[in-house]
Amino acid sequence: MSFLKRAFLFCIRQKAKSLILFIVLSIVATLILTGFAIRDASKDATTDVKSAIGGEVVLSIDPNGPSDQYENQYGTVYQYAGDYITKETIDAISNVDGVVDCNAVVPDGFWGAGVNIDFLPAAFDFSYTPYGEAARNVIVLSSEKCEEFLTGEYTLVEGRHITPDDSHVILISKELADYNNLSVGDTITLYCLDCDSTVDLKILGLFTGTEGTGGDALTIADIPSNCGFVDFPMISDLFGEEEAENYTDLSVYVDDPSNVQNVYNKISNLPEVKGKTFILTIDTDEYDIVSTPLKSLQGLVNSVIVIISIISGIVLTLILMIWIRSRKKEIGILLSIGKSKVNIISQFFFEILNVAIFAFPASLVFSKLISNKMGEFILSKGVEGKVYVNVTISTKYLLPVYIIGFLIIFVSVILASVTVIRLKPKDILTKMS
Amino acid sequence: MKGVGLKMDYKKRAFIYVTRKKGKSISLFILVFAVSTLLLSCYTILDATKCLAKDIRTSIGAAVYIRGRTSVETNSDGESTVKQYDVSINNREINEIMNSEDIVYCNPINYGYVKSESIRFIPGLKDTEDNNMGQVTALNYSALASDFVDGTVSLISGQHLSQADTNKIIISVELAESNGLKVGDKLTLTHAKLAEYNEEYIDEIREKTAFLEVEIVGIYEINIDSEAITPTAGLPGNRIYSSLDVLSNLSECEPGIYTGEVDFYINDPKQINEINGEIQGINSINWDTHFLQTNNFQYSKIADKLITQERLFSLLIICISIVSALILTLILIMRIRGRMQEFGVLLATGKPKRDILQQVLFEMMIITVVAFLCSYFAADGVLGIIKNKLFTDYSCYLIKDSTLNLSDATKQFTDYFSLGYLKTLLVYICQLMIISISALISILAIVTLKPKEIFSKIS
Repeated sequence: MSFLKRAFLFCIRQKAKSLILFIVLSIVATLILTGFAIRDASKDATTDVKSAIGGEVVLSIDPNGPSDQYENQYGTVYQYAGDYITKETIDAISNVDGVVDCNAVVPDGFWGAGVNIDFLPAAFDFSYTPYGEAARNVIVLSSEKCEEFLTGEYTLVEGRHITPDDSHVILISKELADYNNLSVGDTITLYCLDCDSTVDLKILGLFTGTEGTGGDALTIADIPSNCGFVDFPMISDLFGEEEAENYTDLSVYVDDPSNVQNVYNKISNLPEVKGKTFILTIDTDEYDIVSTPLKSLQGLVNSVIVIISIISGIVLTLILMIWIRSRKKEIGILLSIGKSKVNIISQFFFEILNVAIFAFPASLVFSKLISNKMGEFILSKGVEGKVYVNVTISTKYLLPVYIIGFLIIFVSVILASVTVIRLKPKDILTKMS
Repeated sequence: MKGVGLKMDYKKRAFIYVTRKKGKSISLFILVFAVSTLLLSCYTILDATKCLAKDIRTSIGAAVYIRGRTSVETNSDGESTVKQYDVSINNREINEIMNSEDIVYCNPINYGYVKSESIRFIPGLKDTEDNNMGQVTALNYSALASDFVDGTVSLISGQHLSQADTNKIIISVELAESNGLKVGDKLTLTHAKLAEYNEEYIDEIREKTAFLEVEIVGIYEINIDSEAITPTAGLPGNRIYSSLDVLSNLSECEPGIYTGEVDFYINDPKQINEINGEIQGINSINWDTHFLQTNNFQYSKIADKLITQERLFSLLIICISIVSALILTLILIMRIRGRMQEFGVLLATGKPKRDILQQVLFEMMIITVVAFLCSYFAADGVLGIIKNKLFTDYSCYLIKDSTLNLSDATKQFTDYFSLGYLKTLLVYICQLMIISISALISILAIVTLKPKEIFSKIS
């Protein structure tokens, strides 16, 4: 009888033993595959954390760039004469892979007195325009990316944020809106002293966070509740196209902070940026602080997978060795009837292989079931907000896991057989008795 | 000799079995050792991931602000009036709030005005000798002042104010340059109060009775251009940040009572709702005139992802535990069933079932205890390798102590890889239970049979 037939018959006739081996092999393979699935899901969660924190590249005009000088009553005045960030620059940067948003901010960029609204009063009243005192407004491309909203100091409670496509809109505080019985969609008129004209602005959103921050305000402009956010196109209408289209600073937001350097390199090589009098800097302060614990967290998951794999290998080897060593008597008989040692080892190897052929595909089914249940469990546990958990078995792990599994089987069979087979049949049978 | 063997008690039989069946004992030892090392390492790593998740939350932090309410009232003619309530929080209330270990910093603020013979403030609207004064923001930590946090101003020399500072101030670079002042200089301040009289700005405190020598510890610069039209005191460059004692020493406020905002900085944003509840439970604070503003926006962006991360890891450890238990059970059942002949002989010689059970359990205990001891050190070694690889020195605090001008020594080092004796014991007890139950079930399946039945089965 060939060793293949013997191996096959052993598996059929020793059902209990074959079943135990099947269970052990499928459990170990399932654990390792599930471990890899969890590692991948954990990696995705880490990427989501990174995206939520984000990274930033800041493009600004070089203050040491070329300048024009002229004299006025105060002496020599130097005026920047280098390149400005234009709409074309922003468009080019927005198209770079990894860039999610851009924002230009001019704090205190637009001062407007209320024509049809009243500001919350301050300790002192300075009516220096025909419509009373002016309040300051921040000019923005994308209000959502303003420091006040990014740090959580302010929260948009009604309406929506200003985007680069908006024109003649304003975000005001809820306190100011309540004070004037205004709501989202209403239009307010502000007077600009610098251009001596009025401008109509539609209320796009209301924000909170300014309540009780008046502190030691002396003027209307010192009260944060009086200060809003306006768009650049409105400024360009008021002050002329050229002035408003030139930005001095631009914050570029990147999806993954670990991708910031890559985005930085791409932006610095854009024809709209390269060779111009700009300074490009990276700002990943927030991410830098959480990046190390995040990396360590991912490192721990990887460490557990390594530990599981090593221990699984040891346990599997041990079980197979026990399995083969318990068959000393059979080895002795086979040796005594003239079967070669290679023939016997091959029989053992094929016995385990026969079981493994069924156990490994079964492990794929088990691990898929477990992974699906895990994904459902995490979602059912009521995680706040919208979260997508994808615990799936990647096919890229199947081949390596199964190849390593077969290698462990091969090594275990050799190791276990060596101790038995080096003895003579007589010695084996004597030992048995 | 046979007689001696039959009289042997279960302990001796167990001990002799373990020493004579070296191969079997070693294989069981390796199995228990491997599983135990795996479980100890994984549970310690699970604890470490929880520590790391907390580190990430700590890095992001959160804040709670006690502010004065503003109420807008509209009369029958449709005219609106605004009432701004002042904050009034005292040291006792602050201490009560600070009892929560998750609150790391408290930054109460008082506002006031000062004048000095050594300083000529940058002139503003209708500046006169009388109204030439600056506004003061007195606080514990200047680095946590909103202007510094949002980048409106930044410190360019010297250091920030901290809670331990007394009689210290930070001034703007414009004020320092126009008055020839630098870090380390000392000057005398006196109290002042801006008022309006006949369309002129005046100092309401005519007679100066309070004077205080202060030291300049830092200089800040303003990062935005301002076109504000305001009296001298309102110009951004004339603002002085001072330690909390300055205004009380100048009799501008009562010591230990804070009338500006009071800000609390929280270590773990996960606790913010609990802390809010605790603060709002303080009855001595008049909540009709005060309100709590919370800021955990940064954390809220990543909270769900972090929780998912933690849950995934917990599930992985649960899987490992179940698989370990299954393998242990399976192997032990296999081993014990392989000793059917031995148990048949023992039963045939009149040994009670209980005696056989005790013998097997005792054998298991001998091997298990040694394996547990070794696994403790092995897990320690494995974790040591991971520790060296992943946990090099890093800071996990967004608000660094060095920024707040505090000593780093106040911070305790977190040992990420400490499972604790109780949890270690729990892991061991669970394994012991699995081993005992597996042994018990497999032995009972054999010893409940009669010796004759056992031998028939073997043959």
